[in-house]
Amino acid sequence: MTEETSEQLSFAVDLDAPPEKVWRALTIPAFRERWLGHDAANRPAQVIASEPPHRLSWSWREAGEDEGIVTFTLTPTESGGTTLELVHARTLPIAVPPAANGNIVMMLAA
Amino acid sequence: MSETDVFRALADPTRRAVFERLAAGPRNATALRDGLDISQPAMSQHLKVLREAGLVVEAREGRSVNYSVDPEGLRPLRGWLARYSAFWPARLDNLQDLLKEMDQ
Repeated sequence: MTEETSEQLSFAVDLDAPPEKVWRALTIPAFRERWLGHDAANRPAQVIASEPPHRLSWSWREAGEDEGIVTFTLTPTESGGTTLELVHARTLPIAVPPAANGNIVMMLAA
Repeated sequence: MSETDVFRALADPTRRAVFERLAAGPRNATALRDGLDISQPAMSQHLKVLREAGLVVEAREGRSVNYSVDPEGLRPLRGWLARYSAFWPARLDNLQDLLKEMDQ
């Protein structure tokens, strides 16, 4: 039996632009480089999930090393803007021993 | 020890199982193998990787060697959290600025 344990960072921000526009800023490389910065422009290594304009996941690499998965969730607001949620997770699969043997299940909470 | 070493060391299911056993309490290599289908040389190799990643320490008592979890071993993971805790808010600020400059 295996469960996934992960270190995870979550951020949420209200943006004054509709999801379609935010989506373009996230996905068009020229725009992406402008907000992500030139140094970080190559860190999104691969698109893992893409549901325009709702959800986008990138695998994230830095200096050739796996640095986790970055997922954006876009939710339209009543005022025509977007709530953007960003979750950066670094997964570490941890085998969960059967409950009967009384082992400790290790949690990696910071 | 780098966070990458820690993630790599624990990416192997057998090493995770060994690490979890040690998290329950110190053991010698023989007790660690009990119930696991793993040869003595393979166990030595796994313990070496865990030691080199800073996750496990060994203590000699006479002829026997006891292994235990190094409580500081998971500390490098906090570096990753610290870096991206600063990185993302700054980038999301940039994104807000960019959206103002973009057409439509």
